[in-house]
Amino acid sequence: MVPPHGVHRRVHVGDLRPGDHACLLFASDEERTSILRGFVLGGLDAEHKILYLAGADGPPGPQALLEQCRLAGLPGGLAGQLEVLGPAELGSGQGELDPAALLGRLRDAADRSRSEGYRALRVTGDLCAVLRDGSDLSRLLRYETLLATEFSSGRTLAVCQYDIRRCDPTALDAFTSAHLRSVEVDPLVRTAELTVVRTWSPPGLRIEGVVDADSHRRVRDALRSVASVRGDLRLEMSRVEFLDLAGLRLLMTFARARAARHCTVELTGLPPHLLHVITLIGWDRTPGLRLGAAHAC
Amino acid sequence: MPADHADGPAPAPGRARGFVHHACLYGSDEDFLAMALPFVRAGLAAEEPVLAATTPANIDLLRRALGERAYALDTAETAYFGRRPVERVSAFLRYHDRRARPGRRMRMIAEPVWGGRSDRQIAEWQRMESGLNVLLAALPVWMICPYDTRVVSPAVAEAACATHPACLKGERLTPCASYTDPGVYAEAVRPAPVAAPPTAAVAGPADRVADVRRFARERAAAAGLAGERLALAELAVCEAANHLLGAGGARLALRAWEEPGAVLYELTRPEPSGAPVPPFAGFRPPGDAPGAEDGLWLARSLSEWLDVRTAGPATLITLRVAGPRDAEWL
Repeated sequence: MVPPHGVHRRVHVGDLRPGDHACLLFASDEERTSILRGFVLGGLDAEHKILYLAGADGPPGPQALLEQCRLAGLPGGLAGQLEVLGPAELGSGQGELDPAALLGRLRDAADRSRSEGYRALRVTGDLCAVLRDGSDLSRLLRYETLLATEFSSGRTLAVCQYDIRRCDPTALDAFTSAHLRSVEVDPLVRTAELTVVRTWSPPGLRIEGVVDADSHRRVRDALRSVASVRGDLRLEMSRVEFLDLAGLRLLMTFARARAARHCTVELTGLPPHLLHVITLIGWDRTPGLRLGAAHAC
Repeated sequence: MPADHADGPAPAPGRARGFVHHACLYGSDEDFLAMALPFVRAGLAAEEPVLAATTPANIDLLRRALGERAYALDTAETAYFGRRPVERVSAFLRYHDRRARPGRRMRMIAEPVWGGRSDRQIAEWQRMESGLNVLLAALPVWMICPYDTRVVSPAVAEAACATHPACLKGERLTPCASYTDPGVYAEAVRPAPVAAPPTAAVAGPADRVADVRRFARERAAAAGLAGERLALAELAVCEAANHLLGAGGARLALRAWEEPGAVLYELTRPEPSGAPVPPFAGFRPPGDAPGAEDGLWLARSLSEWLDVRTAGPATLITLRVAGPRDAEWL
């Protein structure tokens, strides 16, 4: 299933602010790790307390969380700033998810973090991992609704993780619609005119804005950052406002290099004028290049 | 003596060498066939790729005369084999790329359309006819350009002798006494310059293409272009500007105005930064490796016409982009 990113306003993980309640839809562990890393680093930097709601396969403690985020090398003294709630602490006495009780715990944690001098509390967790049956599902939805109301106060922020490989599509639709925003990794390139974001499902990049003589080097670097990815790549282009000939050549050269490794580069969402230009030059025959549907998600 | 030996540089059948460019002035179907049939037959016999890009009437004549051999002939209705000079050059190169056989020459009959063209268009096609001697110089192509004297003006027929090193009549080849060096010819046969009206929008001096882009976009939108058309106009102007800004430290003065059916942009680089723009720059489509003239080719391809000229120390590029009333784009 394609995650319904389109219905959300996207927020880069580094731009999360207290009051945000966003979902993180991931389809690869690498994608989740990249975003969690940004989430933890951003929290440490902003002097937020970080609370991780861990399912059965979540990190058992703060150190494991740091290792999972490839941050094990950070200096010590952070132990108090990170807290992990295990599966036993998330449910009611019978092991079921109890939305009101969980919300109470979060409220307590928020109060405690304030008294400890932190500027805000940031909460994240993969609650799909605690789901057991259909009634749990409706409880989780209830929890999300309560959370949305609770967190509008602006002293707390939450990122609710959903593994789209494990969630039932209908349930996933319901969960995601409980959030106004979806969180994604910080861009590889972010200037006033150009944003390039790493994407994971399928792997590739999303290019937004203007590619001209001022940004060729940045685009080349962004392409290099996914050059070692195995298999086919997708470049999502529907928000490209301007792409000059030399910028287009970078994409063609990249596709040709991938072709030498028997992989393709698909350009999706190409604005019609760029499709026209690619065809005019004859670059639509570039080995390794696939021209996907215009305006694909 | 066979025609392809008559003027020395023409190669023997089947052997790859550089570009050979002959004109053929003909005044009847018989005259056309007297040139075309032996040329095509010899090419097909030598297993060379042979193209006839000419009028539908001539294609018909040729096919009938060739009989069974017509199956091996590539044909193109000439009006659609590149609508403008820049597209024509691309069409020749594309044919070469797709049909070339290693070590073998190829033959082309390439009859331009002259009837109904404006003076500017005629001058541009004549400049291209001359430019082919430079642009295709390295290709193993023997090209014959027929001119139908029943249709073309005496001036156009006369100019054929200035743009082709030799003229073919039947199988008899005569060097053209008036053949002119392409660079000199291109300077001499210039379309009249267009003057910006006093009401033209003005911007610059700009040293970043981002400023050019905003101006190009704003003027195209003001003229009524939208969507894909607006984006292509913006790209054409930016690629022309990139060409002039390629020289470090260059700055551009910008003007734009509307004419019936078109938006015109004039980019002026007042200082002689960088090398002068060669007369046939931007006629070859981008290849596998980046080329200094790639952007100019795209700008030419996206414009109705693009004119590069020098005025004292300044270099000017003027390009005309089809306006919102151009029904070909509807």
